[in-house]
This record gives sequence, structure tokens and C-alpha cells, in this order.
Amino acid sequence: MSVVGGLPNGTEGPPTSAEVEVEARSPLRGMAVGRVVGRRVGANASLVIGLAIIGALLLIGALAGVISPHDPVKQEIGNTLAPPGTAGHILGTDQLGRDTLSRLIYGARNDVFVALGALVLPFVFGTLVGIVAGYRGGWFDSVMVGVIDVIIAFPILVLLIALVFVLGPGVKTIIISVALIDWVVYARLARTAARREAVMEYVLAAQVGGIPTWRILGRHVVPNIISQSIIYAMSDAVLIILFITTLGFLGLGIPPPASDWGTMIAEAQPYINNQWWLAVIPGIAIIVAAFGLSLIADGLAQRLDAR
Amino acid sequence: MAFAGFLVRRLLQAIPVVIGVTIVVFLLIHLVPGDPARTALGPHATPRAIERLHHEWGLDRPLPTQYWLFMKRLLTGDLGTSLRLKQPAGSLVVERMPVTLWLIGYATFLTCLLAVPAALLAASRQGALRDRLVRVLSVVALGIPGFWLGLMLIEYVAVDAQLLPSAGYGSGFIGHLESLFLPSLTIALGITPLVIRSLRAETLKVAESDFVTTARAKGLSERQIRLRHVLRNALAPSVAVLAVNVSFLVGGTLVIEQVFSLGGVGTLMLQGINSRDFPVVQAVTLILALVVVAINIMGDLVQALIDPRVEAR
Repeated sequence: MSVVGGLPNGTEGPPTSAEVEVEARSPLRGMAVGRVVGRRVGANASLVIGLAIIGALLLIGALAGVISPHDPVKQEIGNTLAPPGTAGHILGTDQLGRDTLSRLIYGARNDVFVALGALVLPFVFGTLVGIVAGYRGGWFDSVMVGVIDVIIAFPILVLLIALVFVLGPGVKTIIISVALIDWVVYARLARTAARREAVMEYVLAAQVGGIPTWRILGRHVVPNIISQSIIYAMSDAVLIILFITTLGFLGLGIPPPASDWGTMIAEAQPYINNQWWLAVIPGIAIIVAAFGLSLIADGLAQRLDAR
Repeated sequence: MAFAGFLVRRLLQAIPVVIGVTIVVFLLIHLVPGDPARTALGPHATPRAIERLHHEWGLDRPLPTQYWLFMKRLLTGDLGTSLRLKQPAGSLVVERMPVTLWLIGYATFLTCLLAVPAALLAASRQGALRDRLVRVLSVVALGIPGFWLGLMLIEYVAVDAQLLPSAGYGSGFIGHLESLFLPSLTIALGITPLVIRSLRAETLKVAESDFVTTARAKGLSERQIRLRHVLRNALAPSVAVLAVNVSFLVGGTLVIEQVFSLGGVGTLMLQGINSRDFPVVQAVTLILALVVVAINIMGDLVQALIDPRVEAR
């Protein structure tokens, strides 16, 4: 597949000192992913605000046990549907007398943590598959392209709901179902980028220099293509948070009594006429979380994507 | 004639995808932890009933045979029988299809109505106030959950202000237009930010082309350049962007149907889930995926009609 016939596949094994030296002298030397990211992330308004919002939400979620004023599942039968501002319940209580603020705080733990957690598997797996498929080509590439085309043919939410249904409810199910569908997007991104990079001169130079394939991929190709996937991951987190809360709204999400913003909205439906805040407050929480993630994506795009 | 060739080629390309889709839908039932028949029939099912369902679904045979049987039935239009309603799952889906197709079409129309002017406005001067305004608004809109927006529209537009119906499908063309306006708007607002983002980028790309510079050198006014050259060349990629986003749109209809009690395919699927009716869930998943495949083919054809260069690809 390459000009230097078979070299990328035939030179596995630890690099010799000469190889390392060649690599170190090259002006096209690969950089660690962290350094590329770290260098370009400077002061950037959307990035800073986005990170602040998400950081705050993660902190609230992590410290939920300490900062939440009440037990989120404790019911006060004598104090149901209290409006915001009620003594002891700043944001009021729901139809079972549970404290809205506490449920909101625990919802941050469930929704934001699960959304970011659900991102990791598809990101890592999809990127790996995409890079290997794009760089090596051949039958593996053809099979992967076929699989990707098939999964993309499904309406995402429909397939997600079907998967959650067959696998049974729970956080684990949500993470697995998102991973099963979402990896294809990362694979497609990484594949296109890896195909582009595979024919670039710096890669050919590295191949001629006898650098093993895994090292070319890890130190040269990945740092050059990963920024696009990182940017996408943040937009993707917005979609995943919307998916998770939608599942909650449909009663297929994080199982009760654990609180989730989508479930809170679903439970507030009968009371929307008189106790509108029950539905409005968790909705605003979702919008704020999604806005924070979008800002991070936007800021990263400006920083990392010079083109 | 070239167009007919393109159409045939595009249809042939879709065949492996459709086969792949059937494999995924077929495998869904095998992802059920434990025995799918037992799960479907509930804890009180008799061993004989479970045995019967095993046989009916072919679960007692090897996997390739099962898929072969599944495909053979599928080709005769048999998508299985609903466990609860005791009716063919396929016809249940087809019965409820009109509402869902209406929603998809209406929402696509509203998306174009919102996204095209917004994207052109933003791209008309990159970095200007209008560009940033459109961007901020679409970032905020992207994060609004559709089901929540739907509830808010029902409460404040339909119930409080009495402007539009809050539920139902309406009757007659005008009735549908009126009844489905709020649900379609809700769905459209969910994908509009995505469409605006891609459209803006496409328009900016076209605006940088050499032929635009030539047009400018020829002395055409900016307005003429924008309408005759940029817009026309950005149209084909825009259709592609729309077709890609339809996948989100179809997923969106499922939830919004529930919010507005429309009783379409999405409602059928959620009812199927509540009653653990596997054949219904499978049938809906399969048919909605086929709808997406069909819409993507249509998108490609429209693109080819607008821009002959597309056929050559």
C-alpha cells in the first residue's frame, strides 16, 4: 500500500538506538498528545467559562453527599409540592416531598458523570479502530467501513432505546449501549484522518527511517489527528447528556430512586400547570450542563484547530 | 441517462447496508441477558408457553439457520407477531407510519426555513456581530432537550395562550399542519443548530472559491455573487448536511410523539417496550432504519439533480 513496500508492517520490535536518534533529530519529531494540547490551551473565553461550568458541576456531583441539604430520596409526606423559597427547601419539594435541590445535586452526579464516563469507551475504541483501519487499509478497513455504514444507517436514539430495552435498565447498560453505537463516529473521524496522514511525507520519512509501525502511529500520527476527535468528543458529550436525560424521561434511564434530571422532568409532567418549577428547574440544569460542554468544544476548536 | 445509472448504482450500494441493518435487528433479541422468551413472557409464564415461543422464534435452532428463517419471513413482509396485541408487527407499524412521516417531513421543512437564512446571515460576514449571535444562539439551542422544550411549548403556547392544539394529529391537511406545528417545531429546533453549523462552514468554503473571485473581478455586485454563485453552489452540500441530520430527526420524532401524544411509530415502540413486546420493538427499529436509508438515497438523488458533479463521484 505504501511507496516503501511493506516497511510499515515489517519492522516490529524495540527501536534500536540509531532509530531513536533518527527520530530525535527529525524536525518532524512526534510530540506527546498532552504537550500538544497543553501548549495550545491558553486563555480562551469560551474554554474557560465552559471548563468552569463543567468543573463546578463535577465538583457538585462529587461532593453531593456533603453539600446536599437533604437526603434526595427521603420523602416528607406532610410537605409535598412546596414552592421554591420554603423554609428548609430553597427550591421546594416534589410530589413525594423530596427536596428538589438535593435531587438536582445528585442528578449532577448521575447525569454529568455518566455522560462523561460513557464517552471514554467509544472514544478510545473508535479512535483505535479508525487509525488502524485508515493506516493499514486492506480487508480490515473494508470490514470496518461496512460496519460503520450499517450502524450509521440507524436513527441513533431508536437504536439506543432498543439496546437499553434488550439489555435491561441501569447505568452499565447505558454506558454499553452508548459505546456500541457511538464508537463508529470516532472510528470514521480517525480513519479519514489516518488515511490522510499515512501518505504524508513525514510518515514516509519515519517509515524509511525504520521506525516501527506502533511507534509511528503513537508518536507521529495520533498527535496529529487526535485534536479533531477531542473537539468532537465535547460536542458528543452534549448529545450523550441529552440522550441520557431522554432515556430518564422515557423511564428507561438510571433506575429510581436515584435522581436524574430527565426523570425529574417526567415526574413533574402532571404538575406543570400549577408547580411549573418542578419541570423548569431540571430543564435549566440540563441546558446549563450542555451549554458548558458546547463552550468547551467551541473553545477547543478555536485552540486546537488552527485551520 | 447518466442519472438513471446513478440511481441504479446508489440503490445497489444500499443493499449491503440493508442486509447489515437486518443482521443488527436480528441480533437485538440475542443481546437479552438470559432467555429472551422467558423475559418476554414474564415471571409467571409456564414452561410450555416458553417452549412454544422458543419454537416460534426459532430460538431452538443454530444462529445462522435462525437468521435465514428471519430473512425468509422478512422477504414475505412478515416482521413477526406482536405478543400483546396478537397482530402482525409489520402492519402495526405501517398503520402508524403516516403521523411519523408527517412529522419527519414537516420538521425537515421547518429546519430548512430556520437554518438556511440563519446560516447565510452568519456566513455573509464572518466574525461580525450577526455571525457571533447566530453561533451563540445555536450553541444554547443545541443543549435544550427536545422533550422539555415540547412540554414548555404545550404549557405556554398551547394551554396558556391557546394558540395551537396541545396534542393529537388533527384531521385533513390543514388540521395536520396546525396540530403538528408545535411537535415539528420542537424536533426542528433540535437539529437546526447542527444544520446551521455545517451550512455556515459550507457557504464560507464556497465563498472562498476561485470562481467567486472571478465573479467579483467581473464587477458583479456582492448581492449577485451571493445569490447566483455562492448560494447555488452551497445548495448541494446543504442537502447532504440535511440528509445526515435526518438520522437525529427520526430519533427525535420518537420522543416528541410521546410528549404530544401523537400515537405514531415512536409511541408504538415505547408501548412495545413497556409490555416487553420484542417483535414490535424489532419491527419499529428495522422500519425506521429503512426510512433513514431511503431518505439518504433521496438526499443523494436530489444532490445529483442540483449538481451534476455529484453523479461522477
